[in-house]
Amino acid sequence: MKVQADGFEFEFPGALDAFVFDDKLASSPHYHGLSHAMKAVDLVVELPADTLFIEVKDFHAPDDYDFRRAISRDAQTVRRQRLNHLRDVLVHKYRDTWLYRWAEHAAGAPDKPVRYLCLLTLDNGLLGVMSKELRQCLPVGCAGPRWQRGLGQSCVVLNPQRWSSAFPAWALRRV
Amino acid sequence: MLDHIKLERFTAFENLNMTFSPGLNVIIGENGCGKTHLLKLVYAACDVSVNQKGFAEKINRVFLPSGDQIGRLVKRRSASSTGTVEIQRTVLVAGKPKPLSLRLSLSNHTKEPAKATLSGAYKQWQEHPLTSVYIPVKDMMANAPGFRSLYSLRHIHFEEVYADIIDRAFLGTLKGPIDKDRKRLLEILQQSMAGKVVTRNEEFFLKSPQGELEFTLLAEGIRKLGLLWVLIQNGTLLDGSVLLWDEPEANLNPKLMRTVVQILIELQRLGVQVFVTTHNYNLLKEFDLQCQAQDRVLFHSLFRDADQEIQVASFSHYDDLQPNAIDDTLGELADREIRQQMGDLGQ
Repeated sequence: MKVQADGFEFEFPGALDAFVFDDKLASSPHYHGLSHAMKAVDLVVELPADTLFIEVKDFHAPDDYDFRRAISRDAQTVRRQRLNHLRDVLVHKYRDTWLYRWAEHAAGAPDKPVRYLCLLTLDNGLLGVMSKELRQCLPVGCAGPRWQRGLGQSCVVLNPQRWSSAFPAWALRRV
Repeated sequence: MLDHIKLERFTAFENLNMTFSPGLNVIIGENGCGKTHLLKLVYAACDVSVNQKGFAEKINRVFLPSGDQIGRLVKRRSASSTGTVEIQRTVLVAGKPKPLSLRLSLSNHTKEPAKATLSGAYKQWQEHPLTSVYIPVKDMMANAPGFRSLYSLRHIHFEEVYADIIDRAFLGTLKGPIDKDRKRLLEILQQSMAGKVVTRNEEFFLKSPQGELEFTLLAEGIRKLGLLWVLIQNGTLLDGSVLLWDEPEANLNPKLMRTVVQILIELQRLGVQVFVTTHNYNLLKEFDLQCQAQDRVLFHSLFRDADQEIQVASFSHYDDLQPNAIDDTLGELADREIRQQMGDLGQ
């Protein structure tokens, strides 16, 4: 099953469903309809035993995150500040998507563990730092002292090279 | 400023051509790729322009081959072979740039430095002194008392870079007031180490409002900042000088790396040619974050090709740096973390 987001095409063989979560087309079966109220991850993939939430940020494509082509020092600073807000954005996208799916109670998504994959074009050295922060902020696992179940099973931040290395069965290519 | 180095069958190198940035040169590579050897060769070439020593003699003293046999620096082979080192620089003669080169040739049978063949513009090389500083990985500031006299009197097995750095640190202060640029750099360092360095009887102390602390009681990272402070304060690192620093990150808390990189970039802007080797991602990333478009920087990656020979690839932008042994290692760590989080999914 192939699906595209933010300049990338993903392929998930054997997936039950894979779709753009924030679909703006009212006639689409995956029409979101709450974009004015809730944030959304780019893709939702239903595997037989797991659900994937996938968010893509290609910093080299949009000017917002392209530090090297910033025309001035101030422009670079502004762009880096945007990157600092990224973590918060990623957290809210996950939580709102989780709530939406819970309320949607979609067939094929009954209480499966949810795994959050953030495909960001970051250095390898920054991936672990971002992953750790995100896991703490989502939070992953049974984080609350009274929680009986977790909000998410796992969360990783990875760049396209790491995706290809870690997930050979899930092909990724730029489109 | 040094422009270029060419090596043939010297130490670990079979054949290497490397062009330097006149500003900042950041060198990465796995262990055994010759980063320190490169730094020592550049340093030797700079130092002979000032100290009037022979190039071969200086190379022998900074590399310290067994039995002082300089021929041992020729790349090992089963048969006889010769090795060469050639370094190029540009000097100003009557206001015009003039290229100079220094070339040393030796065979693996050459026992004494005097038997190695020196060619090129050696006389002119020495007519244009090039002040340089080599900061080795191990701190020597705390070991300074008595080391210089011991080194000059006895044959102790220390590469000469260790004695030289102490000599540089003990140089007297320049006459006249400190210019505003150097003053600014000194203040940045003073802020990070919460004091300034004073010397008494060949011993270094960090002087702060709380009193004077001998260097042996200081964290090694602070000693490094202290050494940098001394070299700037005594005028060693001035416009036109060369700073070579082997792994500044050794014993340095990552928080201090920002200051170290800031100082190195500022020195480059003041006209110092800087060479730094590193294995550290934080340090490398600091250069990427702090360098501006007008900075003259080259990132050099030393790596072994399919034939296991050392090659170099140089880039103006950190993002283009490839192969990047530091990033590759972090990538492998990231892979293992992904596997830990995701189990067998996607395999």
